[in-house]
Parts: sequence; structure tokens; C-alpha cells
Amino acid sequence: MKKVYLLVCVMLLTLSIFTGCSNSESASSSEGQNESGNNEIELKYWVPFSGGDGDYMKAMVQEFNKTNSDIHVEMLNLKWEEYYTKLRTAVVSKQAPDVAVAHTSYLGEIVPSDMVYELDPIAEEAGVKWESFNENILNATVFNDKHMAIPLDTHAMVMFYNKKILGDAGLLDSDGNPKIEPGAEGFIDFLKQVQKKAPKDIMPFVGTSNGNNPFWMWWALYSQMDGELLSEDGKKAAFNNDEGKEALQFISDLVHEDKLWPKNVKNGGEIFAAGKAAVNFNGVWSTGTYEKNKSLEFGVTTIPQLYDQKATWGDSHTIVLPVQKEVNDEKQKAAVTFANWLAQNGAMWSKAGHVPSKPEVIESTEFTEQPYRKDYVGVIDDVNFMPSSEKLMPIGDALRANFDLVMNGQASVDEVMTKAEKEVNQLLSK
Amino acid sequence: MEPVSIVNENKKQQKKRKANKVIGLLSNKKKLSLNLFAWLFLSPYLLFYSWFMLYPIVKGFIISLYEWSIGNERTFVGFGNYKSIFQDSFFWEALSNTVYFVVISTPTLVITGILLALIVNAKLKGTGFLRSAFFLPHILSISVISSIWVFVLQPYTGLMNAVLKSIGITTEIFWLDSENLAWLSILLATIWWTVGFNMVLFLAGLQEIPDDYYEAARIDGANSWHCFRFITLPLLKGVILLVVVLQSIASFKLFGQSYLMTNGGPGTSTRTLVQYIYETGFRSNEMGVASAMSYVLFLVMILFAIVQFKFMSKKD
Repeated sequence: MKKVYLLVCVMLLTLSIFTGCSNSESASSSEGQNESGNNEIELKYWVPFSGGDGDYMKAMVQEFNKTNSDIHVEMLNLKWEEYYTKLRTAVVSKQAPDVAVAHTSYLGEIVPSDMVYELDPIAEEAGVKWESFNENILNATVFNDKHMAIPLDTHAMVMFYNKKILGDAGLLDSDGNPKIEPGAEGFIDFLKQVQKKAPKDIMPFVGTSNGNNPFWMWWALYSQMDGELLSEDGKKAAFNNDEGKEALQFISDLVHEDKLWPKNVKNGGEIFAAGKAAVNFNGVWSTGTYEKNKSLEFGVTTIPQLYDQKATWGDSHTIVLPVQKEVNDEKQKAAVTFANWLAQNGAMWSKAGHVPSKPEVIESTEFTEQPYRKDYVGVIDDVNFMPSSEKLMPIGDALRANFDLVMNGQASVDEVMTKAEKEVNQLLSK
Repeated sequence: MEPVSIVNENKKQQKKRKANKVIGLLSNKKKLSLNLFAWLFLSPYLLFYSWFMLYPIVKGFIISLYEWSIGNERTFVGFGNYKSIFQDSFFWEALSNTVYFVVISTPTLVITGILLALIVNAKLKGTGFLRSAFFLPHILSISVISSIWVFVLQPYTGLMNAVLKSIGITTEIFWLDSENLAWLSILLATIWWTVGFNMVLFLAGLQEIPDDYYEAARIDGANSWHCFRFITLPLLKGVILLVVVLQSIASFKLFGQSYLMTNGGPGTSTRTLVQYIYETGFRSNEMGVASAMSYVLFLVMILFAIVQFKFMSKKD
């Protein structure tokens, strides 16, 4: 008798743990009721905005919830570093959010492995007008003629300059724009003049010397020479060529040859924000940060054309619908409605510095009356998206690690390009 | 059943119980029920242990035998993943970086731990303050630690170079961008972060040693060094063994400091095995290969621990 009693105890204990897990799941997916008593559709929404832009997105979600009584969006802001790992595992374990942000550069990884829904069947019903998006941005989200994501913005690398430093050195024209002669030499000459005329402790050029900054800059310059990252079939590296080397050599010369960009800078943005540097290549989102520093007089423009054509590095935030346990038409429609609303209200989002994805938003007064934004709005057509590849993230890691060696003077451009090519081919062969 | 037989049963049981008491042995049945009680009390722990430790360990090994990426099909490859990592030069680089860090960090952290413990154990004024000051960094998270040290060590605007400048060293020192200095910086941050824990363990060990031993030694004419060498050290042996083992295991698992301070750089020269496992698993999405590497790390760590135990307990 006692044995039975004990067994029951053990089983109850086990059971309570099991049910503890499943309860929470059913609770979170239940549909709430709004004030008017109508059934409200609950959407779980994941974003990777652990930086400053999280606040702007939060404000947008609040605004959406206020103006749309039949849909309630609950936003979860995750750390950018672990975001995609979490998203991927959530999809596989069938606990994915109903709607999520994904970078265009990441679509190449999740679309081929069927982790997001195709949007065409739902889009029309939810009122999405594809033709109202900027073509360059939209095209990067189309796979096999199918729309896989709703682009929200583009964020690109642009050029910031300190107006006070350049003005004192007499390097601004009457409109307040920097006097830069065309071509790579023109840009170098300009920076050399800054070096000569500005105070000694001012850095002519600044950016964080490792990681993304050199990588993005290389991609911008390489794109200006119409370079390709991968072969057409996406199975081989295609950047170890004269153009690829020239772009990297240009960056290397800025640091080592002409000493215009001090070596091993760890906090390029902060140095520029502190008014200690004349020119800074950085992402458009830095506008929001620099604006907050009232004593900083800065201007912003697209990256100068140093080679054959205008181009820069950039990426987009897009909205995707991760694959669920079971298809729920109502939720999908609500999710697309929400995504479309976000794109339509891109002017709110542009406060974070990003360029909206819809031309009509860019033309709206709500956008144009914000300072700085219109100075770099042209990047929307200059952005050269990286090719979609399932291995784009590790490829980026390999290139960053190798370019760092050039940046701190441990290896030559030739050595590094050969090494990077080998590593990327190895990644792609797996 | 008839009432009589029940009474008989009870009587029989009573007799049996008495007999057991007399012999001092328990019946099988009773043993079983006692065992069951033990299992009942153990079950919550066992459940979590098997769920969160045993199961993942076994599962990890199974994954290491597959070509396994999240969201895609899996194919069984046997020991193919192990074969491929042994041919991967980055794996060997990462492993040797890890071993290098274990070699430089373990003695440093053990010795500084003992020294700090001796300082705070000395009956001086302000040791209470020192005790908490030395231990405090340990409660901070790795991201905070790394941010602080990057802030201190970064060139042009960092605290360290500013201090050096004020004492006349004007060249910019790139603490995080040359291989040796980068290791030094990581080591420095690690010491600052974790030495407090070792100190507490040593402090507990020191306080176990009775004062009379020192008194007796003093009467016999021993100086401080003698006391330390012939009383403190031998009596701390158990704690030292423990700390060395714990420390080398912790050093093998180095990830956060190097990942956040140098991102494995310059190049890949401070990339540790755990970082490489992370990159392979979660950036390249090759779970099978990453699991295989984890198993190699696991084996290396076990080997290290066994050698340490053998080596250190032999001297007794």
C-alpha cells in the first residue's frame, strides 16, 4: 500500500513539472479581449533593437496598438548578438513569434531553409502595395519572384563631417559642404589638407579600426568598382581580384601610408562625437547619437564616389512571418497589416536615423522637416546589398577577422585576400 | 477475508517485526520502502540532473555524429565531424590558444589568490574593506567587466594610456591589438574579475588552520617564511588542489573576456576553443561539428583534471 502511495507521489511531482511547462504555452497564445469586448488578435513581435532604436520601435508599437483596436502587438526586444540564434531555434521548436524583424542580409539564410512564410497570398488582402516601395530595397527581399519580407527601411554607411573643424580649416564651400575633389586622390588630398590645417590633436579621419567599419567600408569601395562577393552560383569566393585588393589597399593606406586614420581606434563614433575628428564613415543610425551631442556641429552626406560609380554598404530591416506550428490566416493577415503600417509610418522610424522604404514617406513633410535625414536620403538607391547566401554571416566573420590584420599592420593586403578567399571557399564547400 | 485470518496476519507481522529487531536486520520489503523514500527525496534533483545534464551530454554526443544544422535535414556521418576538425587548422589554433591561456592564467590566479587571502587574513586594520573590495568584481557580469576593461585599455581615449602619458610614456600602446598585449589584457581582466573567488576559498582554508600551530612554531624560533612554508602551505594543500582544478577548468572555458574584449583578434590569435565552437555552431549553423569540438574540449579537460589529481595527491 505504501509503495503505491509513494509511486503516486513521484508521478504527481513529475506531472506537475510537465504541466508547468505546457501551461505557460497555452496561456501565452490565448487571445485577449479589448475594451469594447471584441476578440482582439494578439501578435508576438520580436526585434533585435538592443541599441538606441529600440525606443523608437516601442513608441511605434504603442501608437499602432492605440490606433488599431482589433490587433494587439506585444514586442520583445532581444539582444542583437543572440537574436538570430533565438529566432532560428524558436522556429524549429515551433514557438516562433507571429511577426519578427530580419535584416535583408539574413533572408538568404532563412528563406532557403523555409523558416518564413511567403507573403504574396496574404499581402493583397492586408492592403500591401508592393509598387509603393523603393525598388532597390524591395528587390533584395524577393526570392524566386516571391515576396518574402516587407522592407521597413534601409540603413547604409554614410559620411559624417565636423563642420566646425572643416570650416575653421577653410575646407567648406559657401553652401557648407566639404570641398572634396572627385576620385580617390581627391579624397586623400582633402584629408591631407585637414591634417595640415586643423589643430594637431584632431584626427582627419576616424572610424572603429576593427570589425564592421573596415568591412563595410571595403564593401562600399569595392561596390563602387562593381565588384562581386561571390561567384554567380554562390559557391565560390569572387573578391580576391584587383578591385578587391585596391579597395582594401585604399583603406590600409589611409591608416599606414598617409596616417590619416590613426591605428587601432576602438571607439570611432565616440571620438567623432567628442569633436576630435574631422571625417567619419559610419552607419546612418549614428545621426541619432550625434544629434544628442548639442555642442557637435556636424554634417552628413553620402559616401563620396571614389571610383567608377556611386555605391555604399547597406542593409535593411524587414518584417517577416516566421513559420508557425499551424497556419492561422487571421493572425497572418494581422501581422502583415501591422508590418505594412510600420512601413507606412516610416517617418516615425526615421527618427532613429534609418531611411524609410517608401518614396511617399520620404517625400512627406514629417520626414523632410527632420534635420540631416534628407542629406543622405540618396543612399536608398546607392546601397549595394550583399548577395544572399546561407553562409553570409560566417563569411562576414572571416572577412572581418582578416581585414583586422591589415588594419593593425600584421599582414599585407595580398596575404589577407588570399587567406580570406581560402577561408570563404572552405565555408562555402561545407 | 475472515476476521480471524486478519488477526493471524497481524500477529504474524508483529512476530516478524520483533524478530527483525532482535536480529537487527530489515526485511526486504522494508528495505525497499526505505529505498523508495530515499529515491523520493532524490527524485527532484535527479530529475533536473538527468534532464539538464545527462540528457544534453548524451544528446550532444549523438549530434556530434551527424551533419546537423538547425532547420535543415540531418545526415549521419559517424566520426566524420571528428575527422574534419582534426584537419582544421583553426581548430588547432583555437585549442592551442586555449591551452596557452590555461597555462598562463592558472598559476597566476592561484598565486594571486593565495597572496590576497594572506593579506586579508592578516589581522590588520581595514581588512574587512579589502575583503569585499577584492571580491566585489566577481559579482559583476562578464559584459560589464569587458566594457570596463575596453574602456580602460582602448587607445587615444583610454584611461591606461592617459595615465601612462601623465608619467611620461607618450607613445600610444595598443593593448588590445597586438597578440602578446592582448593576452596580457585578457589575463588582467580575468584576474580582476575572478581572483576574489579563489581568495575566498583560500581564506576559508587559512581560517581552518589552528593558531596554536603558529604559536608553537614561533616558540621554536620559526620566522614568518617558515610558518608559511611549513605550516600554511602543507595545510592548504587540499584547497590548493581544489582551486587549481577549478581554475584550470574555468580557464579552459574562456570565452566572454576574449570574445568581448578582442573578439578573438587580432586576426584569430586570441580566439579560444569555446569561441570557435560558438561560431561554428551558431554563426555557421554546423551543430554537428560544434558538438564534436565540444567533446574534444571535454576530453582534454577530463585528462587535465585526472593528471592534476594524480600528480597532486601522490605527494601525500
